[in-house]
Amino acid sequence: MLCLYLACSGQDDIYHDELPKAVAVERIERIETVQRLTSSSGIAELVFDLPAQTQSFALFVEGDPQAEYLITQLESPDGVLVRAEATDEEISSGLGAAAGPFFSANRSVGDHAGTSLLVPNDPMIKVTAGSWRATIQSTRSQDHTITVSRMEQRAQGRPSAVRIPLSIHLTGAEGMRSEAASEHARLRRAQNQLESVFSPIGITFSPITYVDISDDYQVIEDIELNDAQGLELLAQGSAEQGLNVFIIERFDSGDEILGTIGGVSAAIPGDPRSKQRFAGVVVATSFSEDEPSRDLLGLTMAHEIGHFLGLFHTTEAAGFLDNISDTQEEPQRNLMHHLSQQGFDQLTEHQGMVVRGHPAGAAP
Amino acid sequence: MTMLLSLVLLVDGHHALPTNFPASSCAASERPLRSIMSTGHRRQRLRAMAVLRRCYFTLPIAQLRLDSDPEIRLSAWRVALADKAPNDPMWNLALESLPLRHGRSILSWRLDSKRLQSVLVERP
Repeated sequence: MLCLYLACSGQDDIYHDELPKAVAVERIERIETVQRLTSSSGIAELVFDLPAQTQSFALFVEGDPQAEYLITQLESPDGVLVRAEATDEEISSGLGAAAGPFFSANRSVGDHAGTSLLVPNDPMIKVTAGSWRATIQSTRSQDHTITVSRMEQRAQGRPSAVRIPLSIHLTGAEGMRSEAASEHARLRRAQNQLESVFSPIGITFSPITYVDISDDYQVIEDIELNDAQGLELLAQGSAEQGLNVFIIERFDSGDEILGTIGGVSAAIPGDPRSKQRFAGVVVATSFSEDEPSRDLLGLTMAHEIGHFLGLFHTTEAAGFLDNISDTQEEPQRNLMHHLSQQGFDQLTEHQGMVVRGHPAGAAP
Repeated sequence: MTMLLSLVLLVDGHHALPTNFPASSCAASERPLRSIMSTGHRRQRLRAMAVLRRCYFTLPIAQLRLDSDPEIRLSAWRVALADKAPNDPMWNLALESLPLRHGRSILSWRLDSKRLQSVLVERP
């Protein structure tokens, strides 16, 4: 098992001495900046300045649909937050070239057709005004253009509460349709669970809208949402600067045994703009039973939203821990554990500060 | 090489399962996985079935095709039909024994080009 916290020795300047105080803010500004870069020999360099009062920011990279992308380096005025190099122990994790970014102070993971990164995804990391530099690596070596959207959250301090607009898209799975959404017992149960998980950390979902979409999306074939059907599904999203949830019946990626996957987030973090490659989470009704003591629809939805808002598993199946310091306290009932069980519905103070920094959050 | 803590723990996950497992882990986990297949919740039973399949253990398919949970029946039928040609009479048996919405997965499985290709290669 690899311990990740303070993984960069000699990089203590990138951390606050103690957790920044969460404050009630009346105003949250979300500033979006789009830059187009040339990726040459599989590398693109991004340079940008962050002004004071930036509490967090997210990068969303769009590139060649056939290529994979990874932010391999990120340097702030304080030091290195994402590093390309891995230690020998990290290389032995089996993550290959992705090991360095994965085990960095601010964890970075790659994706198809683009990638994304929330900073900070450990709230102890400083977000300091000044010049920042990122390196984006691509599996496509030929010169090509990539688009980087940077979304900054500016406020008087780290917000103690945010509001996130939520659009729930219904394919008709389990008879869920918008006209009867408020009376559908299972949908109500899921929504109540979602609110009970996120309200203790200062997140409210409002407004919540229900949107009917084609039943062609009840069965989704690519769990990475990167084929034509998956991309079309994400393009149905209607929440502008918020969160799009898609409720389907099942994932069917060709395995003989179905119903083994409960849900996916399009990325960690997901994109709050609708119709984008990483704009949403998808959950499957067939994964668990429509019976209160066995139903995991709400918890799965909450877990995938946790990914969307920038959280990783507190403990991976392979034993890796996340990069957040207060998530390993016993008893392990964390929402972001890789196991899904009733009662695994807790989020910690540090996790709360991470997710409130996601650009989907607006002032309450 | 990543170390899996236990294959039995995987039944409580909800993300994609690894495609293969060390033989020693499979052997150590077979009995508890079979127990979960009998007594677990739907998701646990389905994931236990999937892990057992990926460990190359046999499943009691004839029995699972009669399970009270249509989701279990659907997966059992897909296992049973995996090596069947599209004109095999078993396809109709499957469609008759499943609810309509589950039947759609059987129909698309029947037409799945990758599956058809492997069937045709094995049974020209």
